Amino acid sequence: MKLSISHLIALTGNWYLVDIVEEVLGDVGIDVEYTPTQGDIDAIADVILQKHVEVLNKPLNDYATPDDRLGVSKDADAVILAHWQAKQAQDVKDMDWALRDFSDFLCKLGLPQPRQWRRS
Amino acid sequence: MDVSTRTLLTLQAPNIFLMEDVFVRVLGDKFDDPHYTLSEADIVAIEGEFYRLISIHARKRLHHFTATGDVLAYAQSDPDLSNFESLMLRRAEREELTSAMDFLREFVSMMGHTPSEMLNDYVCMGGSMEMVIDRIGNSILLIPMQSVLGTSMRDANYRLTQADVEELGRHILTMQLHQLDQQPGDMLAILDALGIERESDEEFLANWPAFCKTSQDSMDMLVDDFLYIVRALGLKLPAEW
Repeated sequence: MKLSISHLIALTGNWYLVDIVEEVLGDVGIDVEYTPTQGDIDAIADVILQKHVEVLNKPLNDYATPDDRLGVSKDADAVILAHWQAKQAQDVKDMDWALRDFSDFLCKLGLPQPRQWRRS
Repeated sequence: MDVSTRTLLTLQAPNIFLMEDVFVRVLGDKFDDPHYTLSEADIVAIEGEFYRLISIHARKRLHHFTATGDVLAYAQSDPDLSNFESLMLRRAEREELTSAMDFLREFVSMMGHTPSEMLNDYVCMGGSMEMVIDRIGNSILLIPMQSVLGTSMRDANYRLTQADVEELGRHILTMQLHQLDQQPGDMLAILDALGIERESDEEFLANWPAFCKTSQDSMDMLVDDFLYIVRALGLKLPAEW
């Protein structure tokens, strides 16, 4: 049956990945006639990797909530730090899953893997 | 792009073997055809087949309580009962079915259909409380339900009231306390009174901690399922809870 790439990726249940695919493919992502090209796949992979690097390099302070930044929080510094670290760890996990799920998704649909992930 | 229903299933299904069986029964060769589009009728048939599987599964574990609500009376009414574990639905099996049901509900929604009433909330389908418990597959729940509702448990027109929920809540709390206080001697006495064949006293005692753990898990499931029914029927939790 004819389904769009956005619809298919949504079936994986990985909403982080859904957002990335929609961001990269735009309108063709919801076109049921459209089959992603190698270029599309490579572009999605690039964004996933780029976001992965961003998350790994993100300073912990970026995870602070507005309240934290205003010094409103009554939590001790150690508690706040632990909270931020947990948020960052979750982001890293999301990206790891996005990588894994995208590769798995392509495999199940019989589509090629991103060029940059292939071993030379 | 064109994809077969099987591919769709592999993208999402956690219980691929169970679901594959259901889909193949309904779709046959069309399951692997990338050009075949699932119809509304297919979806209804798939839900029906899945529900039929669940019912069979639950019924296998259903025991009918005839006279009184206590375990001893239940056991006496069931001569084939060889041990009390047969009362208990295995948690892993139930979790597998629940997650398959969640999957199907989500799958149906994602395909642009509305999950049937049956899958949307199978507790609210109507029927007697005995049938509801049958669908859920937790036969231990029949014990307090039988005690509180009596013959109304088998009445398809009877609807659980808030007063029933309060009474059931008290009954379940008592069962929990009884379970916590249970001593090996109590169980041995019951088994012996029923003439149920069992291991030696030493082996029985050695297995007692494991038995208590299983027993505790069953009580937890009893509470979970009771709360599920109460919420699904739009009633309030027991005040004491």
